[in-house]
Amino acid sequence: MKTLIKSIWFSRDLASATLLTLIILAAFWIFLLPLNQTVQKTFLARFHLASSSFPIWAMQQPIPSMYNFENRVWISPVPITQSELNQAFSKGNNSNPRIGLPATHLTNLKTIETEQINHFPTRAFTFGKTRWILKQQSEPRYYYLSSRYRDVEHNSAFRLSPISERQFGVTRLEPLSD
Amino acid sequence: MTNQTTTQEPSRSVGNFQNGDNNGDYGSDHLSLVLPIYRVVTLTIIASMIWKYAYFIPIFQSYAQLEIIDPFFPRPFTSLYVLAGLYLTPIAFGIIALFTRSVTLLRAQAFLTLICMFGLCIHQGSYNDVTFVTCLWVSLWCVWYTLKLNEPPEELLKKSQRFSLLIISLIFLGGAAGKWTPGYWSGEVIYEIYFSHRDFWFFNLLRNQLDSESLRNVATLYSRVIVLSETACACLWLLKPKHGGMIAIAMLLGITFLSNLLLLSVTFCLMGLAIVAIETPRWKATATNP
Repeated sequence: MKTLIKSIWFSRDLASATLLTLIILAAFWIFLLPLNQTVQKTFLARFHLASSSFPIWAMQQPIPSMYNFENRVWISPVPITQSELNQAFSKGNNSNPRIGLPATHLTNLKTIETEQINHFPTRAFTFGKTRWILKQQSEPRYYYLSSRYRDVEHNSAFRLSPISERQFGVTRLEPLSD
Repeated sequence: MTNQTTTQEPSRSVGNFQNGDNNGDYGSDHLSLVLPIYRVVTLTIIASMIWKYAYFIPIFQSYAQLEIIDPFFPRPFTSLYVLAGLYLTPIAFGIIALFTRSVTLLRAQAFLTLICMFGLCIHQGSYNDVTFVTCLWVSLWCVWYTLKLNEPPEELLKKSQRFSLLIISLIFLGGAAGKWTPGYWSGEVIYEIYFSHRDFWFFNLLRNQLDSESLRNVATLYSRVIVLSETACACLWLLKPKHGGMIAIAMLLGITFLSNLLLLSVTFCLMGLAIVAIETPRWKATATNP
């Protein structure tokens, strides 16, 4: 590494200096994650598409973050409150997350279902086959998302409702709170 | 002849540019030494993208059936046509890069691939897919490499090996840091994502062989091994390139074959960089084995 830096310095190698700087900046930002709550909040907001603006969110996207944080989604056919959610998951057969088909793959949603998501919990309604599944029901669905990194938690809520036969609209709701 | 960016035919150029120089000229011999490495990495980016193909076809169909209107994303970054263009362009230009010897074209291809990967990282239909993050970093390496093609081969190889390991380490660091949480250490997250229902040979085997308590314990062990090994791999840049590259390949293959074959799209391009790290210069090999 010393040799690399020396070589870049003595040869005034701008391309290598730029690449090295980008790698160091990304690594530094990641290193701050376990140390600083502001950084944790920024990372978590990114996962919920809740950064202050799209450009600020986009700037963070190259930061590697696979299988990061403890992300959970609750999906409900009707709007719910925190106490209703607690009640639903305190009942016997629902006390543990469902074993079997993941909640995001259920076409006929009757009750509140939950699923652990590897990263970007908003993928529950933006990514891949989940859109097809959303279309099957053609009725609004409510997504309650939670991501936790140690003591910092980010919650958000979305309503996905049909606009036309080929379009669903996203509405950001107030997150659940006690 | 200075600042020439398109190579000469071998018969005309060999005498002039035996090993390349620092004046912006690229001899045929010089390119023969430095291009194979670039082509290997490009090939692994193409492999990453094509491995995604089987998954992307149903995804495109799903997107065509239903559009999600979210004001967070600017309109172009919700368009299916933009997504298709961002996905197909790096493949098409990557294939050209496997055959061309035009440095201008290689640089254009590398820059274009980088732009497309960034586009895929911020498109509504693909932002959550780590494939495009790893491919973005590898294509950044490619941009750097094409800009440095005029360097002496040995110097270029040394630098490219160092940068390869730095990028691989960064990817592992990003994966590890977000897992330094109680949920991953207890195995709860991994248990629910993989052990409880994932249809994959490894998890099916464990579910068939173990009772629920043992399965939960194995999930804890599995999760801790992932956290610790990813953390260790964030330090690969400290090792000799050859050793770092070999460990990286073993780790990337392990992750893929013990969790999810779809992850090959994420790991193929990183394996390309790992191959660069373990590469022995052909001119050295020739000198040792005449």
